[in-house]
Amino acid sequence: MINANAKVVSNINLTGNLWQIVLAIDELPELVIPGQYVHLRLEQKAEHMLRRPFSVHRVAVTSEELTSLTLTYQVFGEFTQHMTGLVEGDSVDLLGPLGQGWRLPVRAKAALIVGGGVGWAALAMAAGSLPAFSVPTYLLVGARNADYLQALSVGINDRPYPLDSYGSAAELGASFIHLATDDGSLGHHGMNTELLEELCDNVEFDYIAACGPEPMLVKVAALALERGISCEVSLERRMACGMGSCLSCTVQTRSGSRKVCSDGPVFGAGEIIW
Amino acid sequence: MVDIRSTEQDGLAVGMDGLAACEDAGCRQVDLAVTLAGLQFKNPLTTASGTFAPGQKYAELWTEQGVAKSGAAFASLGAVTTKGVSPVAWPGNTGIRIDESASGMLNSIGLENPGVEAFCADDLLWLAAQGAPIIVNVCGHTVAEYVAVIERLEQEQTVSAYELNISCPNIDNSGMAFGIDPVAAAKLTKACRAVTSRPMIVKLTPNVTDITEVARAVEAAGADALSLINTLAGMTIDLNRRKPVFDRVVAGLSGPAIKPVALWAVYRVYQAVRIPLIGMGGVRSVTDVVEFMLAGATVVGIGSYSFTDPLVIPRIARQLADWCAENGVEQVSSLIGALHAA
Repeated sequence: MINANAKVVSNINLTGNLWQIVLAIDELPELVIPGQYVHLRLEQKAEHMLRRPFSVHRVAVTSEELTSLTLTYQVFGEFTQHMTGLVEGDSVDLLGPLGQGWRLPVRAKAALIVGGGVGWAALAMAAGSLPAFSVPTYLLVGARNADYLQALSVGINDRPYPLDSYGSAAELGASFIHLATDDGSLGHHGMNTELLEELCDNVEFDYIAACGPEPMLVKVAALALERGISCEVSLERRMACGMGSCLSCTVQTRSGSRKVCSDGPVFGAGEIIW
Repeated sequence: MVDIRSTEQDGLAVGMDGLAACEDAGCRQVDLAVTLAGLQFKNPLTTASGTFAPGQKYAELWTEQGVAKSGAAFASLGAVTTKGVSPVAWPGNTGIRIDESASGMLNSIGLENPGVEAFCADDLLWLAAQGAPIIVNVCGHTVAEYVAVIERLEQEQTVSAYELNISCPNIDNSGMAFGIDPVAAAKLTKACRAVTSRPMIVKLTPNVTDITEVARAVEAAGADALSLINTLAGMTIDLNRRKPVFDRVVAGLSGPAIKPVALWAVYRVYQAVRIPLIGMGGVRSVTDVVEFMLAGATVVGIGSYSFTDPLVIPRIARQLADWCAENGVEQVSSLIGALHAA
């Protein structure tokens, strides 16, 4: 982990309240593990005393010296509103990478990645890694509408897949994408979790990774438990330090209090007391 | 006057040029040591309870960034003050635990901690190897619980001092209940005094009409030093839900927003008591540290600003010697309460 200035490379509105910022930083001392996050501070906005955590959506090495981090964020409050004002060349104070990422199975019969809305950002790197282990990977992603899904670039190995056909597997090799939208503009009309049972009836999964609204995680965790599928979830909590000190982000688990910032954000789904 | 100032500034500019070369040679010696209740501090800096300890991740970051040495990660601190420790594990508060306000933050953590046994087995053991004396913040629901924690910690050789937390706004039947009542505060202090001869610091709340009243009461009851201030009671509202953000409604405000309140408390309490003070509240720079010392603090706590800037402590520690050298201060202890002598 480091604490350093990152330069804004780009910061664009994808659709609605969904934005994407690309930050460049001098070589990170370590790899970003899929599921880790960075903790940002806007120095020019001193009234924001607290940092905000953002999942790393993508990592790339832009040149020999620079690592570029893509963060996809939803405008939610004042801080993220202020973030939309950042332009190329601005600097932000970055702390990271932080937290425990996904413990992806190197061997699995089939893996399922369940994403809800901007929660997909925490899963994208995992979805890109699994096929490298030759694990057949299924995506089940829901968002409010087709534009959001398109904007999230749901795909594997960073390639956005054509999102015009529900469940199209033609280009995906061993992997499959199932989509759902709140308004029915793409894929299933309704919640992605409504497809969960059927999908698990048809495919024998032995690993599930999920990130999204907590009600979605609760449903995924319950199903995984019921069917004995190994399942991990990435949780979101308000956090101040990101360093395991302030205890703002405590979550109750079967092995006691845990900190989302440093023990998580990824936890075994069976560990969490919802 | 103007001439003298400009001469000083010329001298300063020359001094700064030579600073880097001088630092290693040790030619600009500034004595940063202070003494508080018989405890020797290598510099006047500590952490504010609940914002740092045990601080494993800070040790990791500071070491990685090259501002601390592995194995003595907290050598830049005069002392580490721990999170509150209770006799048994406390789960802390339900619901949202932090919220932001302009240049500040509110917390409703509720003194979550693993209890004194787990603290001794894990945190204390680790902390003892980090190169800084340890002040353990003690909390409880009753006088007997505070006493029980201290009695257990008396068996630990690595504890340098206690800080009695009688000022947390985030728990019922304790904390602030003692801190807002001079009689109850004195009774608690006296009971703890009876079971330890180690330096005992009492941490005061600003949520009272007259903080000097409680300060005098605990001084008379045997406190060796005072910490001030704990957080200010406040609330925030979730406008969408039209509900208070926090389950307990009230939470504790900290951060740069409260610094003037804290300075004024230190200033007044310094005049009211003879025991030394640990000043804290919104410290984020070396000049903030100097201001607290001028107001009357012997030691200064850096608190929630570590959340904002995880490198603030080693930076202030590094800059303090430079600030003193640049401002002609040979002994940092000469700053303590200097405002009152003027």
